[in-house]
Amino acid sequence: MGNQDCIIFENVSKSYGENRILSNFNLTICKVDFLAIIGSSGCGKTTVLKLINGLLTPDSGRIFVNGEDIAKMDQIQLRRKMGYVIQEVGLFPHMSIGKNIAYVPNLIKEDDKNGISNKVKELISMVGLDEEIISRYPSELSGGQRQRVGLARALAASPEVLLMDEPFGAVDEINRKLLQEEILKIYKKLNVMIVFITHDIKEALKLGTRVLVMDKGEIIQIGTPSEIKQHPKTDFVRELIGV
Amino acid sequence: MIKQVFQIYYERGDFFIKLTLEHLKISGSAIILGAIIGLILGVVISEYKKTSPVILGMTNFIYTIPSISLLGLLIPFSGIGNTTAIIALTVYALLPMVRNTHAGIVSIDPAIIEAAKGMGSTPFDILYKIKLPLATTVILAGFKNMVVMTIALAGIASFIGAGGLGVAIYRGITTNNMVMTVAGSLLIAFLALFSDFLIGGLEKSVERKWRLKR
Ligand SMILES: Nc1ncnc2c1ncn2[C@@H]1O[C@H](COP(=O)(O)OP(=O)(O)OP(=O)(O)O)[C@@H](O)[C@H]1O
Ligand SMILES: [Mg+2]
Repeated sequence: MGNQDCIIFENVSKSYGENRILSNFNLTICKVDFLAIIGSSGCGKTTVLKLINGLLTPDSGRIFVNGEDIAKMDQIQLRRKMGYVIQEVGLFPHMSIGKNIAYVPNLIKEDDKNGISNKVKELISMVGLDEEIISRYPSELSGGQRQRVGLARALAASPEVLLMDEPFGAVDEINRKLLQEEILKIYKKLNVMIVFITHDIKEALKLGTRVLVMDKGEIIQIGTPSEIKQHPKTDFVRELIGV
Repeated sequence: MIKQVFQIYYERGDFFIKLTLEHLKISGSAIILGAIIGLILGVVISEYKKTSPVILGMTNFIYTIPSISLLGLLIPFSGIGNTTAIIALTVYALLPMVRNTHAGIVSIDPAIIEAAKGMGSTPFDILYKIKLPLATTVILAGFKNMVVMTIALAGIASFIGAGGLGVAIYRGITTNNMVMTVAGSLLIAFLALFSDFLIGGLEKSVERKWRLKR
């Protein structure tokens, strides 16, 4: 397997103060994986994600993106190439939906006004929203709509990698199903690498092309959904998938 | 009394216009200086958290010095007159600006900052596009307090030889002319209320535009 188009964790350790979360963590994620990470609360999922886009830096070990050590890269440029959806969504309340989605394109000024506005419309329909919503403000949307806008905003920079931290955590069951269909469509259409964190094993098995089961900062099992279902490695995995 | 006050405005119109303009010049200079320096200090202490106890402590301390003694303390350095008044008023103006800028920035939902950072914003992008706009209403509230306070406080600047409506008040007191004192005081009160009203309107329109109701 080549290093191109891959994210590689090489013996990564990370602690918060005395509290060691990851020790000698190794993981390779390649294009076009849809990696679903599942594990109990506090096991280090968000930590793994934030190490990828440099919001956190490893205490030891290295992380490579496309063969380059990210510690040696410009962090701002690194992040602009990755879409990032956080659990709390974090829409900018003082910007219209259109401005929210166009945030990164406006930062990098890659396009003229017209080009950006067309892109916003395209993204809005891609995440299953109506164009009418563009001029509204985040406080005027439902929880599900906000999640969709957060997704559209992350897609706006045409990222090669999409990092999603429990993106559908705060929506009801019906919206969750719809959003899952939406993200699968987007994944197939855009051919991006997705790293997707979830609490929900059903969601992980449904969405992921690979599923990573984590516990206390350790990788318990990683494999395709059918591998996980047919050959759960430990009792922890068995319990999780409910057999 | 009211009648007498209006009569004195009419009879000595030029005098009161001159004092009012002077008053606006002194307080306006202090307001602009205080707003700029206060905003910068407020941003600095929110970006570099270690500096916040020092700077907040200092501005708090200055605020507790009685205005008369601060004016007196400055005289050896900047003499008597408008300059000293402007310096003293500027120094007082710092606290509400620093405190509200800091409060406005640190009260922003961390998830919003995290999202902005994770999308590849530089620290300057975050400050300019996210933090300052979101802190605007809190900063404006501090600005409003500061403006009203500065206009009122500028009234005592005449005690150290500065101009402004304090001159009328001071003269009224020394010549036992109650009407003169009231006429000066009323104009100061009017200026303060009017600024309060203007800035209040600005606050509301910003709130509405950015949907920042708190
Ligand atoms: N900034 C921090 N300072 C100290 N401890 C932290 C910090 N961030 C996370 N932790 C701790 O590190 C551990 C792992 O956190 P992390 O956010 O990666 O968990 P998670 O798997 O994403 O959990 P959840 O599913 O609840 O989001 C937790 O025990 C958490 O309390
Ligand atoms: Mg988490």
